[in-house]
Amino acid sequence: MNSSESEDQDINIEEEELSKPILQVQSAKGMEIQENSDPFNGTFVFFDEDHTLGNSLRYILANQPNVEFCGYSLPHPSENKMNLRLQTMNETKEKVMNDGLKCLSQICDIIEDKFKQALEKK
Amino acid sequence: MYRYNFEQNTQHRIEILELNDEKCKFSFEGDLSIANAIRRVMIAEVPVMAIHFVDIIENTSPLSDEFLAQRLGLIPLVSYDADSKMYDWEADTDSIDDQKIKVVFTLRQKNLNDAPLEITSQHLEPEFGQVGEMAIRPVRMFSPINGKEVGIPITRLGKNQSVHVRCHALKGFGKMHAKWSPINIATFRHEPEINIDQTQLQSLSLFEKNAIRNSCPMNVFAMDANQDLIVNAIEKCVFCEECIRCAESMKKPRLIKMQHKKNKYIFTVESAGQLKAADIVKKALIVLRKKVEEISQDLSFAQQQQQI
Repeated sequence: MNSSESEDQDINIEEEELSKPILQVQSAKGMEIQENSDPFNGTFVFFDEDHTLGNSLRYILANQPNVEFCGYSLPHPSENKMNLRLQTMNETKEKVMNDGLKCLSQICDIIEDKFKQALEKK
Repeated sequence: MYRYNFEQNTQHRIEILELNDEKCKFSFEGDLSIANAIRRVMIAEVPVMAIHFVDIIENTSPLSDEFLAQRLGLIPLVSYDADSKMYDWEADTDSIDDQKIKVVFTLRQKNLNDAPLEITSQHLEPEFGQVGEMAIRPVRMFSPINGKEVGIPITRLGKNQSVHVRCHALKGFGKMHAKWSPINIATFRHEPEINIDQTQLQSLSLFEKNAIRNSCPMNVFAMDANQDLIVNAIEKCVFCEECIRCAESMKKPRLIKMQHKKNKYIFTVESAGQLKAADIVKKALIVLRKKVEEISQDLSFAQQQQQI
């Protein structure tokens, strides 16, 4: 994975589903993606992530339109996984996840700008 | 509901309350989970430099090799430049000898005198003649007694004891090991909101008003020109509720109402010296944004793969 941070900070996404996998693709980045029949409900599995990302992303997704349910958990501290469950209506879960991530990234941007402005004022 | 740009822009407000190189105090308006994410990133994910590998050439000091190495690792190194293109991650290079990932210090001292010689961080000499503001160097420590510069003590050598080590400082972040955390203190608390019921206030005698003012250990209340009780220094409030207890004992339970201001937090960030306090906050926000962007890329990559 091409990341500017060390391997400890590898961020992968795997979609894990309860229903039968239809399509299994081994990507060049070493992620396994399982497609399932339900485009609206799913659990995203993040590796090497914790409450830092989990809680903030959960909050943003829960406030997005079309989200029926959003929750996250760290199944066990010995395991390096964070599960984020997303159940949506009308839009696919990938689209809502994408929107949520964009929103979080924008918020960070805005806070950065506000902080810089506040520093200049001081 | 979150819509892009406008609402978020007005929703988030930052005001700096206190600022110097070491400490930054600011008020942040926004959600708790975002505030916590910023705090966690400041502590654990902002990159700095610290000594990671130690070549022990000679060690006759009273400390064992690994003890000495552990102490060397914990010395904070000024790392203004750590996250720039100047230094790469060890994991991204093939060889530990790659000059682009590290800074090397040499510590070579022998005690020829009878008196014990204290080896401090001032004895660490950079190998490649780094100079200037941006050089990676040990953080300067000043004596609390007389303000003179002292070094961070590493070990003490008796007569004829010596130590000769080469220290390689590499880039890392707090999650990997606490020596790479730039933070001494990173906390946030709720901003207080205190309301004094004005109608009930009228029925209080001067003695009772003074009693409430004196009950506060932080001197939040004061008497104004009209001999009325006012809230003077609200930022000092620590929610101990002594004033409410005092009002209750005077049979006026609803006189003072104390609340958290919704979505408003006061951050206190104190740096350990590796980075300036304000820089830690700036870099934390950049790290958080980059983290989210990488995940976004992973997700779109995964989706593309699915469509193939």
